[in-house]
Amino acid sequence: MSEQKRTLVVLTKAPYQGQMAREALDVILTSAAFETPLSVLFTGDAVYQLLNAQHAEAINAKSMSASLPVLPVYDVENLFVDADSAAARGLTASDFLMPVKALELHNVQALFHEHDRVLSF
Amino acid sequence: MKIALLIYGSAHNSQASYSALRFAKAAISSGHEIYRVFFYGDAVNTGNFLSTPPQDEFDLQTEWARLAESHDLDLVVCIAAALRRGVLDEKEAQRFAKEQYSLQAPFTLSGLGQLADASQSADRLITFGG
Repeated sequence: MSEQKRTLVVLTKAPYQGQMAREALDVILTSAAFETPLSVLFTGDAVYQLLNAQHAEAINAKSMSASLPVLPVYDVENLFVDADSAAARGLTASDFLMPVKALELHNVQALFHEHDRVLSF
Repeated sequence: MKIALLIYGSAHNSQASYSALRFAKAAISSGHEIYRVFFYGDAVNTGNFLSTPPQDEFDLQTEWARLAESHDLDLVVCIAAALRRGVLDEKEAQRFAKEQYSLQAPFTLSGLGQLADASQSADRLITFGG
């Protein structure tokens, strides 16, 4: 196969707002299994997916906090959070369940340009 | 140009699958190849042939099927997203001991690997979200 296309997965949805957050995670894990070079950006309400204190069982949902930390195990290590989205929701790195790189707006724009594919969920 | 489509906007509560259908027709008539159409999330209901709109309304499922049959399109419905939403083909219905099924050719159930392949193999991947 020719050179692998670099893919940016942009997450925009809150963790338990419908199925999208979980189904987006499935896309990430499958793409990683196919050895697609991947980056993941948490933006908008998707920054809530990163919260370290999630009690999803209280609303009969499967917790995202058990699933997201497996990403580095699948060699998905380019994890970014939109700094403005986090700040607007009063969240800082200490609220997050795993290390992610915070990007200012101009770096978010650069991130989009660095990838061949953008999958937005 | 080889074009792959990813549709995840709801079949009945968004414009996504309608816009994608028109895009596919326009692309084909412009001489492009539709490499694959991948239905994900709430778009899996696009393939549900039990959906029965009033006769004077646009029948999305039938229109996709008609386009697929006339141009040999690969219409792939994500199996995990579909099962969760009650969209099963005959084989899956048997496997889960359901008396009814709701998906048939030219739509096929398959896994997310088909999306990963389409993303890598097509020249363009166009997403129709919610």
